[in-house]
Amino acid sequence: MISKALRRRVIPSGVAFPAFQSQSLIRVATILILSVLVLYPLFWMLVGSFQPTPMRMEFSLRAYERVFTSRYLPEVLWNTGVMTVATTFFATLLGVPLAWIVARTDTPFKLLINLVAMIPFITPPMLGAIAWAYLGSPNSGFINVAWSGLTGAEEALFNVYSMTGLIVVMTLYLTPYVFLFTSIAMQNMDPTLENAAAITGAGPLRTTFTITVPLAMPAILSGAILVFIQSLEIFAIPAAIGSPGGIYVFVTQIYQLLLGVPPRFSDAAALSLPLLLICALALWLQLKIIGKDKSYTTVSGKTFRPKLITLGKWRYAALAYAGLYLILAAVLPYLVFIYGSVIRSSGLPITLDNLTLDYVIRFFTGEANPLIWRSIRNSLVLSLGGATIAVILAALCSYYSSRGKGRSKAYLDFISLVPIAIPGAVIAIGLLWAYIRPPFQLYGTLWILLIAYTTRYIPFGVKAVSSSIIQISPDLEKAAHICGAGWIRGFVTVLVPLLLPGLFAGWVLMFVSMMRELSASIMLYSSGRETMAVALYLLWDEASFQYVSLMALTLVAISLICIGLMRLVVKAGNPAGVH
Amino acid sequence: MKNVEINGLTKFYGDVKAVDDIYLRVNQGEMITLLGPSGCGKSTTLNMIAGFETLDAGEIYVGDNVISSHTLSVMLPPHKRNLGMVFQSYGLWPHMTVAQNIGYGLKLRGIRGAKAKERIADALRLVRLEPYANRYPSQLSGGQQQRVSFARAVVYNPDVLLLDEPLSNLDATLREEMRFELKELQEKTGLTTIFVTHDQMEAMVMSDRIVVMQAGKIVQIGEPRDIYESPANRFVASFIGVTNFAEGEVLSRSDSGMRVALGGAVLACAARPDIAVGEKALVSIRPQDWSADTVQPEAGTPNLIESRVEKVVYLGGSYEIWTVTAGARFRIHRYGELSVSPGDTLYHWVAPERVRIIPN
Repeated sequence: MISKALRRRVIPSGVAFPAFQSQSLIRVATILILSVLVLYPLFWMLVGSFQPTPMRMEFSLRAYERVFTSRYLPEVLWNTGVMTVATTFFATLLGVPLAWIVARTDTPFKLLINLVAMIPFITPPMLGAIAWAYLGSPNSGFINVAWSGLTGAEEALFNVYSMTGLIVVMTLYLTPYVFLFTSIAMQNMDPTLENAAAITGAGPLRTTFTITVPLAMPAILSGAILVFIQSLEIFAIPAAIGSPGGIYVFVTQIYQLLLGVPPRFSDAAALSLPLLLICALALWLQLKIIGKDKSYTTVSGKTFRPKLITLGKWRYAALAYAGLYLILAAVLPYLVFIYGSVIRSSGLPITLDNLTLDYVIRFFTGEANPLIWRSIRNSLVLSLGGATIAVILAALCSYYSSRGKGRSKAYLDFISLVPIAIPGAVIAIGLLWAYIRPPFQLYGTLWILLIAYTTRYIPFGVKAVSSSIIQISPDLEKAAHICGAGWIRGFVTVLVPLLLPGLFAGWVLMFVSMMRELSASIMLYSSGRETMAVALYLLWDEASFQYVSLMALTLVAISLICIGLMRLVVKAGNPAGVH
Repeated sequence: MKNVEINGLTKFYGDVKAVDDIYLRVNQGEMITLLGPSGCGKSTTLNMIAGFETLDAGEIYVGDNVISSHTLSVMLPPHKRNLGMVFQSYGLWPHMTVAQNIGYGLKLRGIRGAKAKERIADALRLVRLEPYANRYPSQLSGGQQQRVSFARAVVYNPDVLLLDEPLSNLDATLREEMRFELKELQEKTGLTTIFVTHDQMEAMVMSDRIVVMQAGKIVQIGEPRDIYESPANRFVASFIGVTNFAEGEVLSRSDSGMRVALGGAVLACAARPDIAVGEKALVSIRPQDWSADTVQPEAGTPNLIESRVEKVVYLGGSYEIWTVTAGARFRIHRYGELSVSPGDTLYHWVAPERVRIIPN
């Protein structure tokens, strides 16, 4: 023992305890930036609701008083309630069978039906709303014109500018969320569970209703709640379809308050608060359901080949059902825009004389309206920059969340999810209050939009990156460290290359979302800082059918190119079959 | 190649002592195994040596260098420890070829170009995977990945090699082959090696010395044969191999031996100074140490027990006979033919030196 104690011990110099300083530094920075992005505008929104004007530090409850005694509030509450509840109900009613058809039956053309999941990814709600406004307006809507032409009826068949119209269009564009959640759950279910029911004596139909659907219930519910949140949040559809019919909901009413002369900033902030609370409650409920989902352990990471149910003759009914949905949600709207981009004047029959490329040429040469190219440039700059910043933040956030433990992990998980529950309108109001004053006077610049986009879509990026990060064993990094690589080197040489597909998928997802963002942009843009979605809305307001159509198609084309690129890159960048 | 010294190593997880004040010295070139059931603290110990876990008390030396010390506030990060490690999941980087995987650690040590190529080739030759240099890990079998992982860990000649349950992801046949292969590779490289496993056969085959751990503590350190033949306590005896336990009472004690009463039978065994006459003692007899016959052996056969056969199990090449006698049950291993069936009377006896008294 003595000899051991006497032996000369060499103590290495410059060793920190705990190790990995650079890592801790970056972690603190990540947490800080995320917190500022998410909490700073929320804080100012709250402050704003108590301040009569942005620049004067004063406390008053007058904004709340005005909002809660206003004549619009009961109507707004009623409209929002009816619209969101009905939309959630119908989206679930439509989406679950659609998911079941794709995941569990032998219906033909399933690849085509699977496009349903892609619709909201490709078609912004703005496009659907505008297309349906053209299709279903009571006097000039194509469906109504065709109907009176066929039957001679004076009455319009379908007036889209109504609560019914609002619910129909909302449902069409939100059904895919339920579909997506449910079909994934149904595909990943262990077929043993259903086989066990069959052996016990249950027929296919009984098995579906007593085993399959209940097991998918957490997924169905969490899809439904997402639809609920989205229906509260989306601005484009109530703005394009509700407002012309005099139907105002929360987000459009907030917009009205900002449009007024003078703009009622604090009323908008006060009205944002209940909206935020409802969304937060819904998100909390969804998290509880997802948390419960784990006890079902139907998703074990294994890939299953689910048993398909033979539908016989009914498979054509199933196909027709799916086909009808696709026609209403995708085919008709795109036909409208294609027609719109080459027709001389809206409503003319399609003959060679009536077709023209004039509008296309004027659109792309920029002759039509300087707004067009300006907005395309702004959108590209914002989305490229925003998606890049957001994906870096998302990567760091998912890394520290997946590799960390305890309180900082819980906080990162929480803070990176919160924006899901913040409607674009609410973020916009918060940002208006936050960045109209020193030290960050960003109102009137593109920066405020960049911040809005980064904040709104961080959850998408985190989701995309973490789903690939959890597939990467921590042993891979540990092996790099053991071999002699420091933290940054291990991150760059081992983690980043392996994460590339996930990073790129997250980047594309956020880029596409940012390209079409309207809910916040419409309240934050200033003259010269219009984005494509804003331009689309403004052009639609000006009733220029052809340019609206061309703008819509351009927006979709850019999204599609991006998605196509992503598929190429993911395929090419994976020589060793990494995942 | 350096020795490793661990003094008073302790780790808490919340209120639980995952590793509880352990002391251990691993000699140069020695292969030592940390053996124990899951949760015994063996992996935590390894992770502390690797630098992935901080210490709550104690210190770790490699050669003359302290790499972790709670009192000195030293925590060398893993990449500065110059260790090699083979992970349970192999941890091969899927986006790098076999050669790139192996060359990674060399590059970080400033070894590049022809020199690196040569070392990579040597490592590949060592694990007999020369033709696979340009394959990706996903194109290799489990055993091959295992060997690449080994080559990657040893190519830069680390001070200590750490093996974290490297065989547990392989299927049974391959696992058995790889035991010998890993041991052979370790001997060839001559590296000081710390091996963690819960598989007692792996530990037996591969180690110079075994460290048996239970609930964060070291319960016994010794050569495989010592551990098997003189287990320090009931836990070690039952964890390493199958054994018959019986509670007995010491009847007499002399220099030449003790006599222990087991129900109706009296067994002679080696004397132990730590147990007095009249005390309870735990007796352990390995199933294969019994001799057995259906006819009564000649008088004077030591430690003869007469019992009734309960069950006979064929194990492939050998039988296990379960018997019961007044106050005790036994499992007896027999090679070759012995026609007994349940209900028969069986005579079995055991040499006194094969009867082990386990301290309670």
